[in-house]
Amino acid sequence: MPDAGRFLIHRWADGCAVFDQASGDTHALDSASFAGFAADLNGQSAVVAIDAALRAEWPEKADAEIALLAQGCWQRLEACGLIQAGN
Amino acid sequence: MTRVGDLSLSGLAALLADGRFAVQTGSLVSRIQTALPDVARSIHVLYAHHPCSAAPDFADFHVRLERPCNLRRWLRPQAEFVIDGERPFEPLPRDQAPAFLEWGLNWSIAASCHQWLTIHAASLERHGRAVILPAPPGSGKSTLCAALALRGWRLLTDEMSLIDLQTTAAYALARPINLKNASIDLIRSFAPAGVWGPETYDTAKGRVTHLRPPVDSVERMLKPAAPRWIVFPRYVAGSEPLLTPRGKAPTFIHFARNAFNYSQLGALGFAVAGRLVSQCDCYDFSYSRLDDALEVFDWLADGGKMNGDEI
Repeated sequence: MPDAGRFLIHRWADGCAVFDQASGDTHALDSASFAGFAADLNGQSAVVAIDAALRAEWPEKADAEIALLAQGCWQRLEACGLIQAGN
Repeated sequence: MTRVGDLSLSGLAALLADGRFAVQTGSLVSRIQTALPDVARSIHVLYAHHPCSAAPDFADFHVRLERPCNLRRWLRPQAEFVIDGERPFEPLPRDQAPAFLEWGLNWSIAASCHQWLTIHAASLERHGRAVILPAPPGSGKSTLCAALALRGWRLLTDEMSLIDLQTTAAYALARPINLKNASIDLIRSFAPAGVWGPETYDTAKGRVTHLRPPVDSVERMLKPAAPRWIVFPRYVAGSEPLLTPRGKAPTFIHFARNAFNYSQLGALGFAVAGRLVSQCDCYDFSYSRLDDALEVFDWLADGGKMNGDEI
């Protein structure tokens, strides 16, 4: 689980920005991605959090589409180093 | 306090040639040395209202505009910009020397003034509140900035917005406004009494010149302003004015990508840019007529605010 102190966060209604003090990188996250990131920081399941956030945002979308969006969120978080594979 | 306009042109030229001339823009002091007469004339006109001094004890920048010491001194003559003994740029054609001074000073600020978050944006103040106008080249930012400065808004800067790292206040430079190509003629028509520097042709940006800042902008250049609006302007020929709310997250990302020293400042840059975006109403604005644009900005200054609706 990453150190919450490693990250600085700005949140707005339309998204958020995360600064990784370890790498010096800045990342823009949509709501679902941030939900997964925040869950992971708190030791909770990122997968569950992403799924819940997407379903809340897109209640009309089918399960398969939600799964695809969730996969995209996960891959972006992993690529940014904001989440560890297997969490 | 001596202002540049208090000096005769010959007196200014002598100080410049000796390297004893320094001009203050905002809180920055630039010591300038040059024997190039067109640069002296340009400074005499464009910085007429600015405080100056002879051989100050301290200057933020020490710059020289000079002819190179090679064949290019005579053959297809060039000019070089030197700062603190370094030549960060390739030489430019000799006739671009006055503009080269302005561009070189811009670079100097962007490269070294890390006491602020420096953003590629114009900024102006009205009733103590600042509007920041970030925009890529060609979007009409400088044209809009010039028009606002000539119609009641105090110019802070046309190119590099300086944001205090602790307070997010916007600080002024009140330097000449760089205009190019069609915008030159537009602003000349808009403000026939404007005072202009020399026109330079065949630059990388085309035809360019500089407009002297209004005297009020210079006299109040040490007074910061609290940013209140971030407006991304875009000139669209023939369009009606359109102001639409813009998300804070994409606005922040724009600053993270386009602030000159965001990366150098690290976590501090992240914090300041975030606070700046949080405290401002953010908009996209497209326009074609300057009078329309002025009306919209006056509406903002008078307390207008949008919540998801267009005007």
